[in-house]
Amino acid sequence: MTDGSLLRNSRFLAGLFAVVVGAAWGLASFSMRDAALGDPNAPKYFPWLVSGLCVVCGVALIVSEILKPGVAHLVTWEFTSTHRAALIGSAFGVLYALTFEPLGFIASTTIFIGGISFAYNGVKRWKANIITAIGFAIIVFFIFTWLGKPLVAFPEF
Amino acid sequence: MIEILQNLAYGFTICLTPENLLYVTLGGAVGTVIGMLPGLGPATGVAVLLPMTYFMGPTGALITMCGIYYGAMFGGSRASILLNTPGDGAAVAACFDGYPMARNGKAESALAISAIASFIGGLIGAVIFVFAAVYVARFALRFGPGEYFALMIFALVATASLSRGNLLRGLVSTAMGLMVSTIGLDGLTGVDRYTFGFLELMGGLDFLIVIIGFYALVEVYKCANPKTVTRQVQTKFGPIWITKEEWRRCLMPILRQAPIGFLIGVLPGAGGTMASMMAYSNEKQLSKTPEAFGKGEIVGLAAPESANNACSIGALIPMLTLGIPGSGVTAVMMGALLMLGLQPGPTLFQDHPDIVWGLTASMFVGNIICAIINLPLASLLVRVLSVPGRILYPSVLGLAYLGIYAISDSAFDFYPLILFGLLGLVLDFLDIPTSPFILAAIVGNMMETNFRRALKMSGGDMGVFVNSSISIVLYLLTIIILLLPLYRSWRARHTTVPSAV
Repeated sequence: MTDGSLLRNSRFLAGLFAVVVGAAWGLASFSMRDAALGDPNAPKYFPWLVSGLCVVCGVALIVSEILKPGVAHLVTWEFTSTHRAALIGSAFGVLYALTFEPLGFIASTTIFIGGISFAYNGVKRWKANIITAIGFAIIVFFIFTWLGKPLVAFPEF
Repeated sequence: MIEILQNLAYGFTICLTPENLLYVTLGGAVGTVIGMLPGLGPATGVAVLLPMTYFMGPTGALITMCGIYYGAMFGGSRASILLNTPGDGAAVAACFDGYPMARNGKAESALAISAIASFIGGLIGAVIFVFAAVYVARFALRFGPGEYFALMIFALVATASLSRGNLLRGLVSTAMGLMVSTIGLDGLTGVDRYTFGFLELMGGLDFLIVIIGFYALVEVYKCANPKTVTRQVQTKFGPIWITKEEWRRCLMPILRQAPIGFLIGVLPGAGGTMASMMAYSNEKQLSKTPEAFGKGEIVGLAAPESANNACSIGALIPMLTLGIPGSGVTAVMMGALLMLGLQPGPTLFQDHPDIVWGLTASMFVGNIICAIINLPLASLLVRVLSVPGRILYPSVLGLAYLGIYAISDSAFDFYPLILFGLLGLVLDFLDIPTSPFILAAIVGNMMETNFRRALKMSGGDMGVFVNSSISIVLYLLTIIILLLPLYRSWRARHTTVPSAV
């Protein structure tokens, strides 16, 4: 732990994460309205219970790490292709959510799949990326329509 | 007994209609293909293809999903044998001897025995299911709110304990899943909880968002790589079959590991990976030539294949009879059933015998169809392994988003989907298992409702939770599971000290 491994140990980090999430969830429950009938705190008991469980397990993980440092579980963090894919995927996901209804299914899906394909595969494969994007949007549109779940193809003005 | 066989015959009349036969074939074929693709296991496959089943009616939807499930179990080993890349965790054991067999020029035997073992394992699982499910369902009719609460505690703790072997991390995951289940209007008081002012969250967060986020998005993020290249895979084979000698050696391992796989499937949180690993380990211990394992021993491929297919059928027992999904795939199926207006549990057998027995019969038919798909058509199907990731992964991502849209008709749900995709990566980094999270997100609401209902019925007396023998047994089992890691570490300390001295 003296070489900074405490912060890099997944057991410690997992415990810290659990404590933060559990405490935040528990604290947020205090902003809930009281129940109008019966026990006013009735809707809060269960969230308190699970927040408490999360915090207790988190503390136990931290304590167990401090008492018996687990070098076997050391983790290091570096920016990998997985993180890059997640960031790009999430960014295009937000864009998809914002454009899905205003632009209609075909345009928004083509942008989404096209953007992801370009980001994941590079510009060199531009033909395959464009064909995948347009092909996916059109094929899925027809499958959904055939299955009785029509999508709005283009924006309605 | 006669009644069960009559019901099964009735199930066959439902399953063998042209429409349902088409669904089971479609499910088996699609599942086989999905199972082959690295990273896309049965849970992702069922989750992503779920919207396609909405229009089939409950029986058709369930038959198709189950077809995908055991199709994926059949297909999962193809990539293990030919590429040393398992489609999912349950197919990892198939790499140990399947890939060496292919390297030794025995790819045909490996493909054949994996399909034959999966087929026999699936059939044995289906036979046990027919007799076990009815009795479990009848027994479960005795459960009241207190017993259900105890059962859910047991299922959650067992899943937390078994999913990755670390109880504390599993419990953290369980607690987080239960937190997600508290989002939305409280059914008993009408108070909105954790909606953060979003009207869209009033109805709660659909747990399929959690499942698709954790499985589909995380898998795509992990696999998507600009350097993804087309994999070279053998596509030309001789006759895909085994010799008499190979058959003689494999038969007993297949027969004895199938029931064990089935039992592991019934346990919440255990699943195909554990079943196949245990089968492999059992056969290695029983073998007269354990040193041959890992070098292309056909028994080392047959045993796990049989166990993991039987396990996939065993996993349906808690979901259908108790309403408690024990694995990611059955969780998705349960979500689909709830969406179709059906409540899985003991009453399903009474209220919808057509669905239950149609599904049961489809297990036999589905396994036969999967065997047909995986034996003569193997050389055709393995070409799927050549599909480049650059086409596959953006398409899976697109299907994941559209699956969510098909459920809610709202693009708002894309935001929580993105969040759960990222959370899945964080949990993976911290080595926190996701199966307990998913199970807790699903049963959390039922658990809270049963807890409060039991208290209401007893007038606030906490004794209601321990006043039946069923509850007491379940709590005792829960305590045993909680104490097991402590006992193991105590025993490990006790056995290592003398040797150190």
